[in-house]
Amino acid sequence: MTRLTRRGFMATTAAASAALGAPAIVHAQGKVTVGMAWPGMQDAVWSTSHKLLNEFAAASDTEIELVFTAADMDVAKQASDANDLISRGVDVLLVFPIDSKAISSSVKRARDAGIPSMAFLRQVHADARHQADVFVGIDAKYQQLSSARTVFEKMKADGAEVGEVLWVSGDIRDENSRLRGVGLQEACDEHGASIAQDLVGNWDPQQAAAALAPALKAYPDINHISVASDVMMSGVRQVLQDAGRWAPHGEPSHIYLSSVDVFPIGLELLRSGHLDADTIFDVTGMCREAVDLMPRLAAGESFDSDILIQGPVFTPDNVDDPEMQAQLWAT
Amino acid sequence: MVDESQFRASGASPGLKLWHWISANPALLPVALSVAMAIIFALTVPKFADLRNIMNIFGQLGFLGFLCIGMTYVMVAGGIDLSSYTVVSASAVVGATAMVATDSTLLGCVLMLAIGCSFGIVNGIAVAYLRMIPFIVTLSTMVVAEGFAIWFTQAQSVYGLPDAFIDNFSARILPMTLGISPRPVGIPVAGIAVLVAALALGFVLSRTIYGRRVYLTGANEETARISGVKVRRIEFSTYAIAGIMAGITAIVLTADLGTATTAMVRDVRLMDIIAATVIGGASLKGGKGSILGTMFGLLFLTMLSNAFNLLGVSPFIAMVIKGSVLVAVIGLDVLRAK
Amino acid sequence: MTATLHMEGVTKAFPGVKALDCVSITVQAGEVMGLVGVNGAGKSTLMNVLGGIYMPEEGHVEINGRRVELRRPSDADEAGIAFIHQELLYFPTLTVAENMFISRLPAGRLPFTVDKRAAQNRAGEALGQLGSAIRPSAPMETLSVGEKQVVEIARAVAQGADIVIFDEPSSSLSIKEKDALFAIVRKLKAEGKAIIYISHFLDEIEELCDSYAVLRNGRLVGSGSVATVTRSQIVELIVGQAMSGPAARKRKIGGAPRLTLSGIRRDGILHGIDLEFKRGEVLGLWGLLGSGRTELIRSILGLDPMHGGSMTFNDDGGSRPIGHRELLERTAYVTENRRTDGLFLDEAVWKNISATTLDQYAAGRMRVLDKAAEERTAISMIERLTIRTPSHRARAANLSGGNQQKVVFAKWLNRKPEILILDEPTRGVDVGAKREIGELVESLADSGSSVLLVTSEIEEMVALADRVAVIRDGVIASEAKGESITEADLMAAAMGTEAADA
Repeated sequence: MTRLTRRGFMATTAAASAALGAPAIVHAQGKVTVGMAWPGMQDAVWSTSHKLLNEFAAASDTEIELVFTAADMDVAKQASDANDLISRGVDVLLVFPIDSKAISSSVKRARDAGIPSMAFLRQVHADARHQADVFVGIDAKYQQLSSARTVFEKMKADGAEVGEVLWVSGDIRDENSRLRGVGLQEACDEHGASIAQDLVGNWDPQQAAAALAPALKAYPDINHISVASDVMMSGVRQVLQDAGRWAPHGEPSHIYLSSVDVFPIGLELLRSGHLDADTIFDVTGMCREAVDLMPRLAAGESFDSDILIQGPVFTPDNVDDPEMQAQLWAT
Repeated sequence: MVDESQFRASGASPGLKLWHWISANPALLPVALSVAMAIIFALTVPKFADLRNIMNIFGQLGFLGFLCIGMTYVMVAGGIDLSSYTVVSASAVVGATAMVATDSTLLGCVLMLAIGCSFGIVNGIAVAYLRMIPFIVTLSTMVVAEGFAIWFTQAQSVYGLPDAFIDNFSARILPMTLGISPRPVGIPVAGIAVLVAALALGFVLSRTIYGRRVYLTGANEETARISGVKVRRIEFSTYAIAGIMAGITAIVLTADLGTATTAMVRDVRLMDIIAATVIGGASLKGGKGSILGTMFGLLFLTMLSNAFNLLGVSPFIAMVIKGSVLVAVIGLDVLRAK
Repeated sequence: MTATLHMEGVTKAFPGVKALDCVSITVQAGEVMGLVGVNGAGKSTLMNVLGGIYMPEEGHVEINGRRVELRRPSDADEAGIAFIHQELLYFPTLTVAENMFISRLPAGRLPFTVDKRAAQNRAGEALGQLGSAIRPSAPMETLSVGEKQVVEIARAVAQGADIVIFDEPSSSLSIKEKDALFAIVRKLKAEGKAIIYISHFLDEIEELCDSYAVLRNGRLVGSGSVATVTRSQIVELIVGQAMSGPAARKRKIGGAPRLTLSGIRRDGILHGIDLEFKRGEVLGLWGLLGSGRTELIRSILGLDPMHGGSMTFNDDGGSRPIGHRELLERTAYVTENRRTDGLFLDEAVWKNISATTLDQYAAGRMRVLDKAAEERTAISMIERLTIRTPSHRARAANLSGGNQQKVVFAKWLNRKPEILILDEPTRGVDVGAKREIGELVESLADSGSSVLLVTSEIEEMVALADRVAVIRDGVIASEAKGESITEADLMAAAMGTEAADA
């Protein structure tokens, strides 16, 4: 993994870009101790981010020590862990919030002790009383936008008709699902398409299938399905197989598919030509960015807005490129 | 007439006498463990003995301390309560919702206590009067409370609590600037509250007629009943106390976190609660244990995970040590019974 | 196979005491030896030497003239020594056959399987030899206490034991079961087994044993043929002093009954019991195991259900109905089994003694207990009842059976009970303590308590009761008073007329 590939794929929101563009004022200082209040190690995202953060910290120009704590998904324990890290006098508190509101009190306690805090992947809730000094997360809107946009462009190149899209969304209460829906809408607006129907899959292949099957009958001419995550892809495949519409790109019965996250099933379907675009859930980019920010946060730099990572779009053409493969983590 | 028990005692070596004394005072073990642990950590772990960290540990006792007190009452009377940790969430989300809706701290707190107490009452009725097995009953209420909390909130955290509530209950009082700490360090209200509760309920359990009846019920329910102890009422009361303790925990945690969630305390901490109580001298067979012992058992576990967090040692090693200490303590209990 | 057991000069010391001091005994093949002595006299230690649990400092054990080394329990097994314990150990849900061969079940055709049929056949054979009709396929828990014991004996026989030691085998058996046990012991004797029979019941020794051996303070103080010794001589050997005759009864029994039971019913067990408890009277309730005697007590105290009948209490203010709860509060109940519902075994002696009278020590709105006063009372009770314990702070479990029973009494005496119910008050208690408990019962009645005495020991009943009600199949079959209480009458009444005729 090299800096070159990351820069090629990563962009930040406008304000954060401005911050990035500011003169580097921090790399001169000594060792930075960062306390990690993590939910646990059992989930792949938790353990992968733990591993990658340590790797990037070891490779950093600044000496960075990571102090790890795990709360076993216990909100009260995470507050205790954060208190312990504050007592220890870490330079930065890095929290992967179990609960986006409860973490606010830990952020406040850190601030009272003069310690800046960084929220990782899950933002402190907007309505909470105290916000983290910086948030590093995934740009969920961009994920769906970039994936759907790639498919629309491919359809136009193929000469296919761009019209209505079926949207297999996640959980209606989930912020990520909502933002991905907004991203799809933006991609549709760009290409003069429209969302025919919002099918709630609840991040579950069975529920996705149950919602998609009747919709496919209602819209027999549909030629693009956009899925909110690869976790629901097996359900989508089942419905299309039953309907006789499961065919790789190039065959007449092919339905264009855009999806998000690049899990193993996504990779498999990209290679087989059934899936046309898949935007990665870029844990690697997020960890690299978090490590870069640590010394700056410790030095007292303030950030006006969130750092949202935009990962690359995987397509059947680039899926096996070495630099794309280097981005994978969920395998 | 030769009395076997006499020569058994008269021939005892000093070591054996010490053993008898330790056996008669089971709270000594957790006290000794905690003191030894505190000294070792103070000497070897940087920042451990800082005023800020001492107050941090003290405050953390408020998170599980009330639940441990409740568990001690239930276990001394011969039962077990697996439900208390999910009852915390069930109480918290209802109380917090009411607080957000009415802006009344008092109403919210009363509701939290009431919900906690009602779960305790349900447990108590099922175990004491319907003669159901405590393990199964409280396992069921554990699931009921968890399900209720998720259904009630649709898995969303409750927030927007009155500032007065959060500020009063999660406060640090009497800020001090002792030592080199540049910022003042206060005494956490949660710690003070659990200390007061431990002293009061410890006194009730160890000194009053009610407390003695709790011990006798756990030591031998049938003998206690024939001796005139209203054992069902006693059993019932211990579950009610455990429920109220869950309600108090809900208040403390909601204030500290600034929100009420469906999973404020998770199953892994149930292990900590039982471990603290057992290290404190309680037995799953009932009739044993003390609030003093339990609080030191909890202090021991809290210091252990705190020191490991300060050192940056993997928290999973702390789990290994906690589990090993628990097994060792249960082993000692078996030896003691011989 | 037959065997002669000889123990020569066996000495075993524990710190502070010689538990066995040069004890020599011989049991011939085909002989039953009765081993008697108070608790703590050394009987258990002697048996533990035979069982391979203790190694003696001096002396040795010979079987058929050959010295055997008994270093561990398995050595005793191999030497053909088997123990039938007072408290039986078994797996309740397994069958009789499985229990009998638990450590050596015959293997089935497949590895790790058991040939159930072979096990049952062998069990049936062993039981048949003893003249028992117990089904080998019955789950152990469905058997009566006596039947369980028979299974235990059959197991010993099936394993080829030549020396069988019975440790107070009859203490929890009904009269019929006791007869069956005696028949089995005689059968084993006829087969040439050497048998040691430990018991507190001298009538059993007289009836069953050929020879006797008395231990006192770790020494063998007497032995010989049962035919040449009288019962009172043995008692003298046991306690080391002559026994006084039964105290002349000159008790005044008050007129009005304190408690009247009428028509007490419990479905399937009690069928309308009428009974009066008088002031200062020892009322004996005599009946076989299963006749409803313990069930009656538990029902009126509200510990078990009661389906009909009424209870009237008579105090100075006249008579009135009384509920279970109040009756339980006014009653001292010395239960049949002190270990399960008489004592808090893990608690200190003083806490046991104060358990029934906690209100006396509680003060103030918080009802704080005065522990010093509790301990003072306990110490004075320990002195009054001569309870032998290292300290009032010792755990009750550490006391001997007789002293545990005295703790149970102490617990109730403290309350100055109006009604005293004693269910088998001297079971498993040595002769000395038995006499002390008897005196205590009389003195309590003298002070005005109404005593209900349930006992399986007919002599005790005859000696202590002023009046005896015989319970049979859940009804009061007959009553006897004063001089008319005789052993033969009681036995006949309890077993019913058919048995008496036979």
